[in-house]
Amino acid sequence: MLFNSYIFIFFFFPITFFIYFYLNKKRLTEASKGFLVLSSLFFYSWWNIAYLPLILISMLFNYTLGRELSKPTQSEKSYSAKTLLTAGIIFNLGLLGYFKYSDFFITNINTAMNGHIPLLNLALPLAISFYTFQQIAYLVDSYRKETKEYDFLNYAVFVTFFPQLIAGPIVHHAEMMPQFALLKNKVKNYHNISLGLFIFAIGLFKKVIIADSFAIWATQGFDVEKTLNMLEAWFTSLSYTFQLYFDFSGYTDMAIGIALLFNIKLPINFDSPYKATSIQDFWRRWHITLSRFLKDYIYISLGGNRKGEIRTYTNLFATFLLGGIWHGAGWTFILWGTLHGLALVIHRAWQKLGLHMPMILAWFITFNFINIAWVFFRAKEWEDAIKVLSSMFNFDGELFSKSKQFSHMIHYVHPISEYIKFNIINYTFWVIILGFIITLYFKNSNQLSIQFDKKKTIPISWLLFTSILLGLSLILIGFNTSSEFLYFNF
Amino acid sequence: MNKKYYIFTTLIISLLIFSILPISNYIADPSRILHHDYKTRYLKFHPHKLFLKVAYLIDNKEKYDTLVYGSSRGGFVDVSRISKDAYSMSHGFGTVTSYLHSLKSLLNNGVKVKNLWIGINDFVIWKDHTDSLGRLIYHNNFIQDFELYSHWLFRFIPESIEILKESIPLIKTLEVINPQARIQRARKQERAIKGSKRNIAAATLGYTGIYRIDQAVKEIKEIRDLCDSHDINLTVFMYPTFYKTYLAYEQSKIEEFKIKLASVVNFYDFYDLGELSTNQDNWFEGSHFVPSVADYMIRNIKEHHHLVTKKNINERIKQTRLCVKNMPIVFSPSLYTLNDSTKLNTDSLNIIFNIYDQNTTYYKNDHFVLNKNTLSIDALVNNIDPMFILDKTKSKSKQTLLIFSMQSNQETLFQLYLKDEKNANYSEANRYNLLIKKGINYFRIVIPSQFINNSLRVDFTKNKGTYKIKKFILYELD
Repeated sequence: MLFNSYIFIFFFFPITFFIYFYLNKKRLTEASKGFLVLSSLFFYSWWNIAYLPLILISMLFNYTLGRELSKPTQSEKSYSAKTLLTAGIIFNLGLLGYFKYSDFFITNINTAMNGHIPLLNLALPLAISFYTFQQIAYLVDSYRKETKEYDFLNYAVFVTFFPQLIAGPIVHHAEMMPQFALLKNKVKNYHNISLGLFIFAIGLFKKVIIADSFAIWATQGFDVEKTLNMLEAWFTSLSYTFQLYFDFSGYTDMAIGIALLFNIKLPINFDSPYKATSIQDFWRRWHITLSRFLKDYIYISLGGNRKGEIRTYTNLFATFLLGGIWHGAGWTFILWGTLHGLALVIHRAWQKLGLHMPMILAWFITFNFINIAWVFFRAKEWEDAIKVLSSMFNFDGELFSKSKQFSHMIHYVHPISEYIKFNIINYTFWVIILGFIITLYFKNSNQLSIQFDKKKTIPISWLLFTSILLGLSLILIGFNTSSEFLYFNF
Repeated sequence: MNKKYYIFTTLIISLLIFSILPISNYIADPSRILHHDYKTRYLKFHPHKLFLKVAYLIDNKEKYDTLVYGSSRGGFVDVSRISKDAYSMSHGFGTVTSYLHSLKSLLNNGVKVKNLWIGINDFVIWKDHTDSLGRLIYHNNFIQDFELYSHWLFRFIPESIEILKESIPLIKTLEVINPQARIQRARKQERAIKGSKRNIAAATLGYTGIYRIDQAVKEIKEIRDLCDSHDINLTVFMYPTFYKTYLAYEQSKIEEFKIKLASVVNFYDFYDLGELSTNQDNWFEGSHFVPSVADYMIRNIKEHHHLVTKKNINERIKQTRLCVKNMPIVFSPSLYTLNDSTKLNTDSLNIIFNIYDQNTTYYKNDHFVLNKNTLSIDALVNNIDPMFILDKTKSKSKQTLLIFSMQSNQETLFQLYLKDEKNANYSEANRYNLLIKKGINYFRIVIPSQFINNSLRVDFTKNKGTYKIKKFILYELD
């Protein structure tokens, strides 16, 4: 079930919301928690019920192991705790690896050895990358004795809570469990509901109207067109850059907004990433909860910056290489992770040298690096990436194609383009300019929600703003009934 | 304003804005489903005939006692020859799925039926309507109705905007109230085409090479059970098809369907390569027969000719195979695929075409790009029906062996188009299909060399995507 679907907005969510608070009102708090878990599992199974046993097994296994690891241990037993932890991590990574990376390995073995091992063609269980990471963090913290005595129901709510289950934010048990336990969170809170509605409306608008509009051009450029001229190639890469941001941050806003309606505060995941003036700054603003996980559980576990400069560079590089692999089984993702790892190493070395760069130039280099690296992230095959990149820098070619690509692309601009005729060049140009203005000049949803939060009374203009965003987005859902979020693939 | 007021006002205003979508769909209603209107239609758009026929019968529960189901081909069946109280339930692309759903709706809503005639197309064994709401109609329960109406209300329907924008008027129609009206027109058309020289092509309808034989038979069994429980006389018959269309399909699958169908219900079988199929005068085009063919079927059904039962199905299959053998049109592709157990040493065979060979020449369309690597050739297909034609390849032997291996990440079709004569056109009727599965596919196909020498056309996939061609070699056999 997608957040941007009528079935979610008009049925699943209101029913879950009212029953949850009704049970709490009747002081059936355990039942309300149980109901939330069941609703979340129903939400999860909506895509494919076949994945349900997997998440249940994973939860049971990790909960049992976490309980064992969190028990006070004698010093002579510490070896077995480490063994248990290792086994737990191997189980989780094994599960993830089996579903996500098997075919990638088989394909490479077949290519290298001219083999004919048949592919497994496994469907990637939804959300496996996210709930696996959350549970690995839980196991590590249990081993470090940083977890409390959670019961299974609390643990199940933490893992399955539907707003964040599918594509994050990647939450930490320490920030979630206490919120579920807090009594005041079991009562409807109109302040949180109004703020949640406000953030949800922004997120829905970002996804349905902005991201899905950019998607049309990005898909056309990457997947359909055989050749691109320079302008089209830049439009293609920039469209994807904006699509990914508005899609993922839109999803996150919706998740944060929905969770707030249940009085649960999810961590923010984006903070105007395209305003970043360095690659380090970018990773402090983009998919913040992933960066936090990578830092806490990989970078620091590898030694962080405590083992000398060379090891720091190596650790940084390795962390982002693993980050790339986490995103998908493919050489393009590995290259994307490698590029980001190298960029962070170079940035750190630059900082060590004490060199400075004008802010505008720093932003320009950072943004372009990110934009170019996204080409590898998006491309399904090397050839797609090469096609777009080579056209972006084909100074010998023509800026505008002589072919009729622009005119035939008009049909892909938007479903309503059949009725409102756009000049395609102007349309795309202005949409991309608008993308820049929104991402660079406008306040982001966190800043807007802080502003909203501070207001004791809401001005009419804010009311109209939310209503129009929500109303238009609801109409546009009817235009495009099957638009999944990009991060569902990871 | 306070936050509680903000919440309620926001919800109300946004819902008001959103209501533009269902209201405009309701006002325009191109399918006429939302108004249950079977008396008018827009000239430019097709109404949902099946839904409206069901709605009409629910409003006239006892007007007819015989229903004659069929696809658009059934539109040329003069149901008055079956009974004066018969009503034609034919609708475009009708399958047993849509027959079953609508029959349930009728019976659940108290429509009296005594006799049910069901005309079956060959395409019911591959055409799947289960995920196509546009084809299904419901009056069975609240959830199904809700699903149907929300499909027509809460979705962007381009026709709705066009109707409202251009103020397209509604016109009166008899399509639902009197479906027989078109038969008279069709009879005139039939007289006009009789004896005329036409080159009718095969009409393969949504043929994917992926079958749903068991589901189709299960649905017919369900129809049979419904008829038993409602005391309805059931008559099942299989339409004939134009010979070129017949030859384009995998007949072993049709045979499998017929065998399974006979185990469930007796049926009248007109699907073969007899006179009905091969006489061009019987066909408007490669799909629709003329009314006199329907008359012939009705006459024969009434006299119980062409009846196929569990007992005589094998005999019938033999008969249809004999039809192929004896048919006046000489066409026998006689291609065959070697199975895995057949050993064949290719070392001593002469290679006449190898896609890896730098000097190999052939024609290819621009629907795909080939990138040669050491171990495979990546085929980047950016448009449907990528093809190459081996127009420079000649074989001196009687038979030619094609070894083809390709890695695919989706199910699709591999097709060879064959020409009997050098100057003939490629035709859907002269086609050899193989199913490409996900993963690595490996085929060894023996092809009569005349097809190689007449420029073999190879459509290695039906779908866009990236494929790895690992082997494509032609050897002269013997």
